Amino acid sequence: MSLARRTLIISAAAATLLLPVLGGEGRAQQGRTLTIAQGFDPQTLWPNGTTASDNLNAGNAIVEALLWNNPATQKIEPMLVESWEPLTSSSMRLHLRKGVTFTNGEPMNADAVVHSFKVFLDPKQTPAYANYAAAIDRVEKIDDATVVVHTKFPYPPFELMLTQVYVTPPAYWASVGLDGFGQKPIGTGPFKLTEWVKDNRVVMDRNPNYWGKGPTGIDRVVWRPVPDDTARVAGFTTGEFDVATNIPIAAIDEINAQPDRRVIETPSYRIFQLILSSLEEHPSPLKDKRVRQAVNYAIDKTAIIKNLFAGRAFALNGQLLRKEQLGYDPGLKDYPYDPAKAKALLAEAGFPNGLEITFKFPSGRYAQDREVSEAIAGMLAKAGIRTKMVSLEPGEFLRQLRNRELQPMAYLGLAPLDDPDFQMAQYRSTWRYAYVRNADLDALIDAGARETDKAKRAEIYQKISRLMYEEVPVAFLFGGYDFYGVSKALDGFVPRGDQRFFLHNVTLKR
Amino acid sequence: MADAALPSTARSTPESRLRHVVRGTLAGWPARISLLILALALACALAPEWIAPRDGYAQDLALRLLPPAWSEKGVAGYWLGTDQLGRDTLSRIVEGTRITLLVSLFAVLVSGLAGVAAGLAAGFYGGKIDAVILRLIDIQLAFPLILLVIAVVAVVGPSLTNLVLVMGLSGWPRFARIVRGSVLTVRHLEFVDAARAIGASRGRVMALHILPNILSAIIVYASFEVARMILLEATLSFLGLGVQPPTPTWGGMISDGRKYLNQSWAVSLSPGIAIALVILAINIFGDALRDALDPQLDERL
Repeated sequence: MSLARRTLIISAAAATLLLPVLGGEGRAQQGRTLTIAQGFDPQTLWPNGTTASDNLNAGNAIVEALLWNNPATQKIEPMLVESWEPLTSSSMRLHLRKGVTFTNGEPMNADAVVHSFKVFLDPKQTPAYANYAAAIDRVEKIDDATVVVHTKFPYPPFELMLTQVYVTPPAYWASVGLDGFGQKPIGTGPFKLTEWVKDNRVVMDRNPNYWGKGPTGIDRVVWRPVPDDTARVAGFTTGEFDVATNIPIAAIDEINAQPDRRVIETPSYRIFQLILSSLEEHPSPLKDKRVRQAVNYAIDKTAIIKNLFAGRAFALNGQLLRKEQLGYDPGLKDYPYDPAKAKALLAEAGFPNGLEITFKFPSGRYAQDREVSEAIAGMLAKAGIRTKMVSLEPGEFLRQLRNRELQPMAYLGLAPLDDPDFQMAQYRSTWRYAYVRNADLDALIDAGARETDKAKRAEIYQKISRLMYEEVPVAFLFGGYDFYGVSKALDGFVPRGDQRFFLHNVTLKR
Repeated sequence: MADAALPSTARSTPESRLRHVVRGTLAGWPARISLLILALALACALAPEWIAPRDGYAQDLALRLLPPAWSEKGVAGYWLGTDQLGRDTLSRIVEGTRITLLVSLFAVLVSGLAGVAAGLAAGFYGGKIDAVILRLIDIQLAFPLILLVIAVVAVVGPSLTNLVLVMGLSGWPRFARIVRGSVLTVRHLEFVDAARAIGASRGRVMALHILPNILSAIIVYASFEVARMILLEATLSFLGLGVQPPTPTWGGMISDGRKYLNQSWAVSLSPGIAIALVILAINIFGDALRDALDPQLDERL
């Protein structure tokens, strides 16, 4: 082979190798691609398929809901429903946005909405949303742009429920089915699916016919699954990602020190607690109320917040509702840290020499779950409650939670939707992972779920909180924060406390 | 020098095999230092409460992630600093010695026994037995360890015995491959043929003629396996099969401390150095032992 020919081949090879790199850089300079790193690859892009935020964030860029709970204004605002008004105490009239089409050409109209409700109401297709669907009686088409929704009883979180109903095109749905739709969704959203390489990237391109304003300066969104915290932070700091979710606390200062990167801190809906099971089928010393109270006295919540979270967590004040929520009781305070009192309560309950108990905790499900659990175990030991710690892999942890096997004691963080009923319903004896059975509590929870008068409803929830403070079905720990790494070139990125964020109002500057 | 003196003494008073091996092993300084380190580790494993300066379980959240005592912000008494919950790192290393060494040595023993037996059989007999064992090795290597572990947890539940068995199970194919390779190079040498020619049984040939000649490879590899097992234990305890907190293990300390590397390097590095020292000691000592045991280096022959 002559030297000239060899050079030619080498330079040709080099050119083919370099081309994609150069091309990629050219795109980046135009500022048209937004790259988002989340923990996991979506299992499905159909938002009603699961409640996992990683699935919903990506799927919601394509498929839209009737209403949305805008984190920037903290109000429920129109999406595909333009306006709505109550007809009776248990029915609501919805006026749909006109002239909206799905990206496959099907019209978004009353038929599509009725079809979407039909899917939503079928617990076989949307098991994760059965709790909301249970309140709906029937859905009625009035004309092409009007729909009336009837509930079985006056339902206070009516609008919140409507934010959970995602609208799908009926003809396309019929042709591909539930699983097919999850892999190749068609919606009305600002983006449409271009390419999905499993466990590598989901690529979405801008929907040119989008009905609204949509995001500014973004032609393409790429969703990347990066399960490892360290790798996600590294990719974010080097500029590979514009947004990265779940930044570990230890990396926050390092990121904020960079000129073009920042960390957005959002108070989470996630409330951390210790399950203290008092069910008859779970025999343990925790059946005695005094032992459960002793656990509460034995944990130094302030020290955990201050030292393990560097102040980036909030105290609960002895209740599960957050300050911003309806029904928050300002009169309640946290159980103080008082190991002596805890010991006295244990002695009173018949355990003068302390007791031994199994303590389950997840490893890698929540931020610093292992450290927090170990710290709690250390504090409990000082009060005479010796724990046998059992570390659970996240999948096994969730399985045990659902099957009521996380007993007698376990570290848990629950992030229900932003309504007191969704928070409290998790402690009703019939709930699949309730570790308490209390008739008074059940009655109050039912009353709160059906009371439409706000003042009366708040009063009911305050009663529930006081009852729970006294009965302590859980140990009240703290509320968490979520941390997002966000490029300073991205404006208007506002995450919600349930780890949801929306691309509708963001701007990518360049 | 010792070597030069050896022939004369050996001739005058025949030395016992054991004394010969001990003397041969401890001839060099590296081997003596290694023995000292191993003795220290053994002492830590047997009586940690006498050696640890503090209570390795006592937490103090206000004193978390302290650097070692000699650095600027160090606190006297916490010689290697504290971990993420304010526990004394040095005491935890001492406390963790017993369980760490117990688990990793037994796991290596399990995988070593299984692997050497399989490798010997595969290399010595060849043919169908070899093919079957090789396929078994391939199957085991192709199966993701973590999945195997989760399955085991689900079926038999976590316990120390199961931990050792699963870890042992994870290592035998590597042993078997190394042993098989070594056996293939040895089995056609003259002395093997000679042994067979005078009527030695197959088992005797394998145990007394082939095994001693491939022992060096096994010992060197086993010492590396110990290090791998220590780290594997940390992974498994993360999945809930291994040793549960607050019991300290070296691997667990490294993996817990990894998250805090940019705040305190000592949390991960200190147990890491402990592992490195012990592995190095095992390695050097094993090497010296091999030299002393090696029939080809035995001057008496």
